[in-house]
Amino acid sequence: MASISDILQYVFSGITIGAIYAMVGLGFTMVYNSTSIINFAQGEFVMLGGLLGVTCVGALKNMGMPAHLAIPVAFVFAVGATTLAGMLMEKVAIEPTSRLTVFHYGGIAAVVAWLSRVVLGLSIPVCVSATVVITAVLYLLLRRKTIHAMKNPTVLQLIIITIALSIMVRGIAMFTFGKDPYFMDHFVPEKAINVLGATVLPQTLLVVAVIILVVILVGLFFGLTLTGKAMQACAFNREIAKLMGINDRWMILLSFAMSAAVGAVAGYVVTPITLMEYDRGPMLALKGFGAAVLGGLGNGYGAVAAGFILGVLEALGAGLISSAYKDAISLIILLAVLFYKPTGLFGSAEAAKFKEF
Amino acid sequence: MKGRMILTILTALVFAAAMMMGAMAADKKPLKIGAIFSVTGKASWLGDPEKKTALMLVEEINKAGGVNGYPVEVLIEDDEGVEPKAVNATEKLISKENVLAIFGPSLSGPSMAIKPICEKAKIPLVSCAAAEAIVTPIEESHYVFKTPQLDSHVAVRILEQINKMGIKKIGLITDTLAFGQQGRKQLQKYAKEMGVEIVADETFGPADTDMTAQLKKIGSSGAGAVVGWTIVPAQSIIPKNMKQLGMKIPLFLSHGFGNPKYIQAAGEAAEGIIFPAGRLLVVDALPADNFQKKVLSSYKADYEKRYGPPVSTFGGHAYDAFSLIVNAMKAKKITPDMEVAKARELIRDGIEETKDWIGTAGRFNMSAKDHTGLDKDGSLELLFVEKGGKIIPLSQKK
Repeated sequence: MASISDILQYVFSGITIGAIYAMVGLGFTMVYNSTSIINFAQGEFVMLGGLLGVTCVGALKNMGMPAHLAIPVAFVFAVGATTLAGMLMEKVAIEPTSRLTVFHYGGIAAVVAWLSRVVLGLSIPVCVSATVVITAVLYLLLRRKTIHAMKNPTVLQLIIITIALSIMVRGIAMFTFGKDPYFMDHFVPEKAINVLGATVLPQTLLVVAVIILVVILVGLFFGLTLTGKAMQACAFNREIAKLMGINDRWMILLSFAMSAAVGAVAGYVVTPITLMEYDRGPMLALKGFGAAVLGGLGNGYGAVAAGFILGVLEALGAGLISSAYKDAISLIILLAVLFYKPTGLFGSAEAAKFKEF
Repeated sequence: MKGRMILTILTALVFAAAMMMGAMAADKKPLKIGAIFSVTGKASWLGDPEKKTALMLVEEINKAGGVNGYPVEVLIEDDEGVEPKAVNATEKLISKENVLAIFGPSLSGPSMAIKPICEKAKIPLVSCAAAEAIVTPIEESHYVFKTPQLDSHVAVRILEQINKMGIKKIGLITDTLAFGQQGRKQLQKYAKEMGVEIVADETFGPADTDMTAQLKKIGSSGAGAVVGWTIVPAQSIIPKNMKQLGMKIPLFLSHGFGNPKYIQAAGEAAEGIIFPAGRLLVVDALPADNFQKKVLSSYKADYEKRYGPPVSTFGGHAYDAFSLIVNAMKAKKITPDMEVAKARELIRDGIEETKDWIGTAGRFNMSAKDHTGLDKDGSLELLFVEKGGKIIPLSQKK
C-alpha cells in the first residue's frame, strides 16, 4: 500500500510535470483570446527558449562570465529572441497582405543567411554577400507583384499555417542545434529538499514560483493597463473593438509576442530539470493544449490550474495504478470532463458562444 | 531589365545542371546499396551517427578504388523513426532504385515492419536495431541479419552481475517503445531462470520528463537494484531522479545508454551506473592485445576527425552492417552488370558465410542458424561510470 510519503512524492512529481503543461497552456490561451487561433507552434517556443538559453549560457561561461550573471543575461537573450521569432511568425504568415512587406524580406534574408551559414557552412563574408544579393534580387523581381495570399483567411486555415510553421521551426532547430539532448546546470543548488519523506528539487520550486509570477504579471497586464484591456476587447469581439479605434493588428502581434515570451520563459526554466531537444515541441504542444482545453479555452488561470491538475493526475496514475497507462489515465479524465462539461473546468458557456471554435 | 535577370539566372541553372550531369556520366556504373536510418525524428540520435558513418565509409571505399573495381553508391532514406515511412523507403529502394542490399533501420519497430518485405523480395537486410525478434525465428529471417548485440546477451550479462553482487530483488524501469518492451521481456524471462525476483515493473513514455513517481514505487518495493532498459534521452533523467530521491541502490542500464552525451546530461548522478555495451566507448582503456582494439581505434579516430567527438556505439552498428555487405560483395565478386536477383542472393550467402570477422560490436561468426553471429562475452563488456563521468570497463574499477 502506498504510504503518505509515496503519495506526496507522486504529487511533487506531478507538479514538476504539470508546471510545464501549465505554461504551454497559458501561451495557447493568449493567442486564442485575441485571434481564435490555436497556435500549434506554441511548443516550439518552449523548445527555442530552452535551446537558445542553454547555448547562450554555455557561450557566456566560455567567455568567463560567472554563472549568477550568465543565467539572467541568457534568460533575457533567449526570451527576447524567441519573442522576436513569434512576432516575425505573425507578421509573415498570419497577417493578411497583398504585397510582400519588409518582414517577408527580413524572413527571406534570415533563412538565406541561416542556410548558407549553418547548413552549407560557408564563411561569414560569403554568407553576408549571398544574403544581400539573393534578397535584393528577390526584391527586384517581386516588388511589384501582388501575392495572392488568402485575403480573408479562416481560422482553420490559420491553424493549419501554424502547424506548418512549427514543422519549419523544428527543422531549422534541428540543423542549428543538432539532434542530441541539451542540458544545463540547475540555477539553484541541486540539493533535494525533504518533506515528510518525499523529495523535491529547489529548481522545481523555482519553476513554480516563475509560473506564479508570470500569471500575476499577465493578470496585472490585462486588468490594469489600457493595452491589456484593448486586447481583451479584441478577444470579446474584434469587429466592434476595431470600430472603437483599437488597432487589432497590433493587438494580435502583441499576443503572439507575449505567448512566445511565456513559452520561452517556460523552456528556459524547465530545461535544467527536463533536458531539451529540437523535437520536444509537438509533445509539449499536445499536453499544453490538453491543459488549455481542460481549463476552458480562453481562460488563462484555468489553463494553468488544469496544467497542474493533468500533471498530478498523470503522476498519481503512474504511481498508484500503472505507469504503462499514465497517459491514458490523464486523457480519459480529460475526455470525461469534456463530456460532462464541454466548456472545460473553468470555461464559461456564454463566452464560448462567441467563438468560432 | 527584369527579363534579362531571369534569363541570366536560367542560363546559370542550365549550365550548373549540365555540369553535374557530365560529372555523373564520367563515373562507372555503381554498386547500389540502400540504407534506412532515423535521421530525423524521435530516434535521430541513433540515425544521425549511423548516416554519418555510412557517408564516411562510402567515401573511404571509393577513394580506395571501390569494390571489385566499381564505385559503391549508398542511397540513404530517412524513416523518421516511424514504421510506415520505413516501409515506403524499403519499397522505393527495392523496386525503384534496384539496390542490392539494405542496411538499417535504426529502430526495432521499423526493422520488424520491413522484415517481411525484404523476405518476400529476397533482398538481404542488415538491421542496425537491437531487438532479437528481428532475426528470430530463423526460418522467417532467411534474408535478415542484424549487427547490434542480442537483447538476451545483454539481459544475461546484467543479471550475472546482479547475482555476483548478491542482489536478490530488482525493480525494472523500461520505455514504452519496442526496444524497451523487448528488453523487459528478456529481463523477465532470464530473471526467473537466474533466480532474481522482479518486485517492481515500471514503464515511462519516450517524452517523459520526470520519473520520480515510478522510481519512488521501485524504492518502496524493496528492490536491491534498479534495472533500466531504454534508448531514449530521457534515461539521463533516471539517475538524476534517483539522486533526488536519495536512492542508494545501484542502477543498471542497457546497451542503449552507449552515448557519451547521455552520461554528460546525467552529470554527477551518472556515477556508479553499470551497463553492458560494445567496447567502442572504452577503446582507450582496452589493453593493446584486445582483439577489437585495432578496429575500434581506427573507426573512432576516423569518425572523430571528420565529425568531431564523441563517437557513439550506434554509428558502430552501421559500420558493421555496411562492412558485412561490402565484404560479402567482395567475396562473391559482385558487379553492377550482374542480374539483380542473383546478386542479392549471392550477397545474402556471403553475409551468412561471414566467419571470424571483427567489427565494432565484436567478433562475427554468422551461420544458417545465427544471423547475429555475436557471442555473449565477446561482444559485451560491462562498463562502469567513474567519478567525473569517465567510462571504464567494470573489471578495471578500483
